[in-house]
Amino acid sequence: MGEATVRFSTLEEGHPVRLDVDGVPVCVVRIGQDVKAIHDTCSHQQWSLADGGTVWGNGVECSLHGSTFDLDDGRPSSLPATQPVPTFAVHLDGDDVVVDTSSALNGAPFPAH
Amino acid sequence: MSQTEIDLPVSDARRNQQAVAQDLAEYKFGWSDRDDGYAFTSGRGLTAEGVAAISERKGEPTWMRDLRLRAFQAYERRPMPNWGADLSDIAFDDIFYYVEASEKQANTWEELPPEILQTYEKLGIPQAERERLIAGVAAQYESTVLYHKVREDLEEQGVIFLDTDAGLQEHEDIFREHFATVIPPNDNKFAALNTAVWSGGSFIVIPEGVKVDIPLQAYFRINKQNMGQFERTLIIAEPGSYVHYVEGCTAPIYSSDSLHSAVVEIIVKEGARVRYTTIQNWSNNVYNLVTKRAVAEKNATMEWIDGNIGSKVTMKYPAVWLTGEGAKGEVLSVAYANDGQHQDAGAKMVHAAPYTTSNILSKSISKGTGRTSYRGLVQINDGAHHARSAVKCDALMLDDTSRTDTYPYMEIEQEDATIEHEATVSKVSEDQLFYMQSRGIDEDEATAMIVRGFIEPIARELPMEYSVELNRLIALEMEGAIG
Amino acid sequence: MTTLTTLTEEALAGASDAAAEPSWLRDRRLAAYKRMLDQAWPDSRADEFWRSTPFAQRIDVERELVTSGAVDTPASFTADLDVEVAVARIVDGALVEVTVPSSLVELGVVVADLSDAARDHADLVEPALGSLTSSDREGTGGDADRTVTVNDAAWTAGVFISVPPEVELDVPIVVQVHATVGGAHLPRVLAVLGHHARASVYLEHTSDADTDALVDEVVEVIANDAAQLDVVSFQRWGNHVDHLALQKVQAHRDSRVRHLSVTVGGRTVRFLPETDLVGPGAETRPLGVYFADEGQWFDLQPYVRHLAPRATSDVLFKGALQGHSRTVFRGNIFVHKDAVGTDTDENNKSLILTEGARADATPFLEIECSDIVAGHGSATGQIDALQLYYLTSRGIPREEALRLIVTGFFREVFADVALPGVEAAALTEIDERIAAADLSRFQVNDASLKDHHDE
Repeated sequence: MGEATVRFSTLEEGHPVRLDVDGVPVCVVRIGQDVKAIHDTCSHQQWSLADGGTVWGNGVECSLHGSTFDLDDGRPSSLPATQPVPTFAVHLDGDDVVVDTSSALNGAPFPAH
Repeated sequence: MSQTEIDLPVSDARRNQQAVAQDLAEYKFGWSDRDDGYAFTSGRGLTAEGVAAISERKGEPTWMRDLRLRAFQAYERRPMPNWGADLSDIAFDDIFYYVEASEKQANTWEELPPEILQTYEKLGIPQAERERLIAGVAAQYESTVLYHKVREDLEEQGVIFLDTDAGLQEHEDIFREHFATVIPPNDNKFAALNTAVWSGGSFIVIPEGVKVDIPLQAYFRINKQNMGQFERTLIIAEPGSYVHYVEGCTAPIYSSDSLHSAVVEIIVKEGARVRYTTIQNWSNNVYNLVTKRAVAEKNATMEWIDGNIGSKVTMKYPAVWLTGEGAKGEVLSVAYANDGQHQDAGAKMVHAAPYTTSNILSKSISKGTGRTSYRGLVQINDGAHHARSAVKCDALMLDDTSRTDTYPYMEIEQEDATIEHEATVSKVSEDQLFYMQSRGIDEDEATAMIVRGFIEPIARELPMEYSVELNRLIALEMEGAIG
Repeated sequence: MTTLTTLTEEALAGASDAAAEPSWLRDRRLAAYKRMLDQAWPDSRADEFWRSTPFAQRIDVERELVTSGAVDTPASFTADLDVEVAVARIVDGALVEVTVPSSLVELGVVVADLSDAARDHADLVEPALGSLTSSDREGTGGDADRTVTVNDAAWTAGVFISVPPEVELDVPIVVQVHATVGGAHLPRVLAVLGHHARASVYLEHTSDADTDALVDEVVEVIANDAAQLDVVSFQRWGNHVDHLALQKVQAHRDSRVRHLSVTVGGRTVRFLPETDLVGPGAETRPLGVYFADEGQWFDLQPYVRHLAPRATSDVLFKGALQGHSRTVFRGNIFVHKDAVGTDTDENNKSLILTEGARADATPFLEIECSDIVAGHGSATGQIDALQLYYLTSRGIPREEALRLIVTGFFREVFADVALPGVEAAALTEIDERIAAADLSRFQVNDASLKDHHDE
C-alpha cells in the first residue's frame, strides 16, 4: 500500500495524509504544532478520510457524505455516520511521525474489513 | 362553524368550507402572480461573495456565515450525481438564489398586502385560519416568510413554531446544537447548495411530553422566473412529544426552469413521534431536488408521508436513521408522473440500533410518457440486531408510453435481520374498465376511481383537505385537463 | 511474460496466427483489443453494476496469462451417470480434449475447438461469436466492461457447440474448465442451437485446492426458434480462484431456456447469467443456488431483457451463508416498450446460518411497457425457530433437523429440473458444506416464538 511514516516538516497544516502502518490505514493531520492520527476509514461507508477529505477545526470531514470526525475523540459531528472511528497515539522520532496502531486511543472498535 | 367577514378589498372574501371545496373542484393551473415588487436580491448565479452577502443581509451570527461558506465550497467541488434523473438542463448560472419580498413580515392575515393576500386566498389559507383548524400557519412568499402566527395555547405549552430565520435569531443555542447534525453541509451536492443559500422554512421545537393535536402547516410558492427555492426546515421533538407537520404547495407554470432544493432535518428524541406530510404539486418546469432526513432515537417513531404530483423532475428519498433501540421508521410515498415528468423518489432506512423496525410503502403511477422510479435503501448496520424491515412498491402504468423502474437496495450487515421486499407492476385492467363503463361511468372517471383506489392506503393518512385536493387533482389529470 | 495489463497487438495477432485462426477472427480480436484500451478496469464508484464488489481490492489483473499446464481434469459429475456424454476439456488455458460420441456426430452435432471451428464452421461461428457481448454487433449491453473486452481479444481456449435444427439430445454436452496453474485464464464458449433443437450444456468449473488464479470467462449461447436449452454452470473452484463470468443467452421465438447455476467454490465469484428474450413467446428461467462459506464473496447478477412480446421470465435464486462471507444478489429485469404481454417474476432468498455473514440484495425493474405482469420479491433471514421446533419435537435430532431445513430450502430451485445428475450433484455439494459446518454455530431466529415488537 503506502508509506508507514511521513516527515513532520513536510506536513502541511490542515492537509490530511494517508499512511499504512502495519496494515492499518491511517489518516494523519497536522494541527498547529501537533500531529493527530485517526483510522483512515469512515465508519459510514468505508471511504478513505484522507482521500479528498477536508480539515475543519479539529475534525476531518469525509468527502463522500460529509461526516466530520473529531481528531481527539473520533466521534462524528453528524450523520450519516453514527459510530466513532479509532484514534491513535502519535509521537515524533526526530522528524518522523510515528503512529501506534496497536490499539485505539479512544477505545473505538476497528472496522470489520 | 361561525363565519366572520374579512374586512379586506378582495373580490371573493366570503368563504365557508363547502365553498372552499367548490373552489377546489374548479381548481386549475395557469394563474400566477405579478413578477415584480421585490426588494433585495443577490442577482443571478452564485459566488462566495453572494453567499456572504445573504448572511450579512439576514444579520446572522458568524458561525452561520462560515457554515454557509463551507457548504458553498463543498457545493462547488462536488460533481453532479451520476445516477437518478436527468439534471442536465438546469441553468445554474441563471437562477436567482436569494430574493426577498418588499413587504415585511405581517402579524396577522389582515395586515397582508392585497395582492399577496389574493394569492393566499386562492390557496384557501384565510379560511383555514378563520376556522382555527390549524394551530399556526407559515406562509412563504419567495424566500422570505411574510406571515407567521402561533396559536395562543401552543405558545403556552412552549411550542416554538417560527420561520427558520427567526428561529436562528431567537433560539440560537438550541438551533446551533441541532442544525446540520442530521444533514451535514457536504452530504450531497444539493444539500451543500441549500446549506449555502438557505432562506426560510420552518423551525419547530416541541417541548418534552407535549403533544400537538392539530397539524402544523406551511405553504410554499415559487413565483419568479428562474427563482430557486431553498427553504431549510429543522424540527426538534423533545422526548415523549408528538407533532404532525404538513407541507403543501402549488405553483404556476413557467416556460423556463425553476430549481427547488430544500433540506429538512428532523430529530425525534426518546419516545417522541413526528409525522411529516408533504403533497407537492410544483408546476412541471420545476426541478425538485430535496434532502429529507430524520433521526429517531430510542423508542421514537418517524413517519414520512410523501406525495409527488408535479414538477419536471423530482429526486427525493425521505430517510430515517434509526439510532435508538426500538425506534421505528415509516415512509408512505405516492408519485405521479405525466408527460415529460420524472419522479425519482423513494425512501432510505438505516437501522443503527437493535430492535428497530422500518416500513416502506410506495405507490407510483405513470401516465403518458411519464416515468416513475422507486429508489430505496434498507441498510442494517453491524450491531443492529433483531431489525425488521418490509418494503412494498407497487407501480401502475396507465399508457403504453409510460415507464416505471424499481431500484431497491438492501445492504444487510447483521445476520438476524428479517428483511422483506416485494414489488409489483400492473396496468389498469380492461375488465375493470369495461365493468365500470357498462355502469355508465366514462373511461376517464373510471380510471380516476381505479387510481384513487390504488393509492388509498396512503391517501387515507392525509389530512382531509389534502385528500380532497388529491382526489380532485387525480380527476383533472385523468381528464387530461392538466399538463 | 504477458499479463492482462501487458497484452499487445503483436502478441494477440501472433497467437491467433499460431492457432491458424482465420483472418476475420484475428481482426475481431484486434478490434476488441483497441476497444479494451479505451476502457478502464471497473470502478465501483462509477459503474453501477460493480457497486457492490470493489474490483481493485478483490481482483488482481497483474497476472500472467496461462496458455498451458496440466492435461488432466477431475472426473465430471456426469461420469457417475450411465450415459455417454460429449466432453470438451479446457485445462490451464488450453483445450486438451474433445470427445464426441459417434451417435451425436451422426446427428450433425458439433463440439470442437473454437479456433478450429472458426475455420471449419465459419458460416456458423462468424455471425455468432461476440454477437451477444460485443459492441460492434447489434446485441445489447455490448462491451459491458474491460473484463469482457479482454476476453473478446485474448481468449486462449474455446469450445464451439452446434446442435442442428430439430435434433433433440437426451445426453448433456459437458465443458470442463479446470485450473491448476496460477495466473489469468481466459476460456470462451460459443453454442448455437438450431430451431426446434433440444440440448443441455453443462459447464463445470474446478481447480486444484491451492490454485491461485483469475478466470475471466465469456459464454454465449443462441437458442433459435422453438429450441429448448438448459445451461447448467457449476462453480466448484478451490478457495483461491477468482471467477468473473458473463454467460449470455439469446432466446428466439418460442424458445425455452433454463439457466441454472450452482456456486459453492471460489474466492470472489462475479457471475452474470443473462438472457435476451428477442423472439415472441420466448421463456427463460434463471435459477441459482449458492452456498457461501468463510472468506467467500459471491456477486450474482441475473439479467433478463424482455425485447419481444409475450415472453416470460422466472428468476429464482436461493442461497445460504455461513462464516464471514458475503453475497450480493443483483437481479435486473428490463422490459422494452414493445414487449407487450410480458410476464416476469423474480425471487431471491438468502438464509443466514451463522454470525458474520452478509447478504445484500438489489432486485431492479426497468419497465417501459404497461401491458405486462411483473413482480419481484426478496427476503433475507435466519433459520426459523418454529420450523426447527416442528422437526425436533417429532424426535429428529437438532443437527439432523438443521440439515433437513437447509437442504429443504434449496429443493424449491430444483423442482421441475429433470436434468440427469444435476440436482444430486448440487445437493451433494451443499451436503458436504453442511457436514463440514459447525452446526452449533448455526443461529436460529426466535422472533416467531416471541412477540418482540408490536405491529
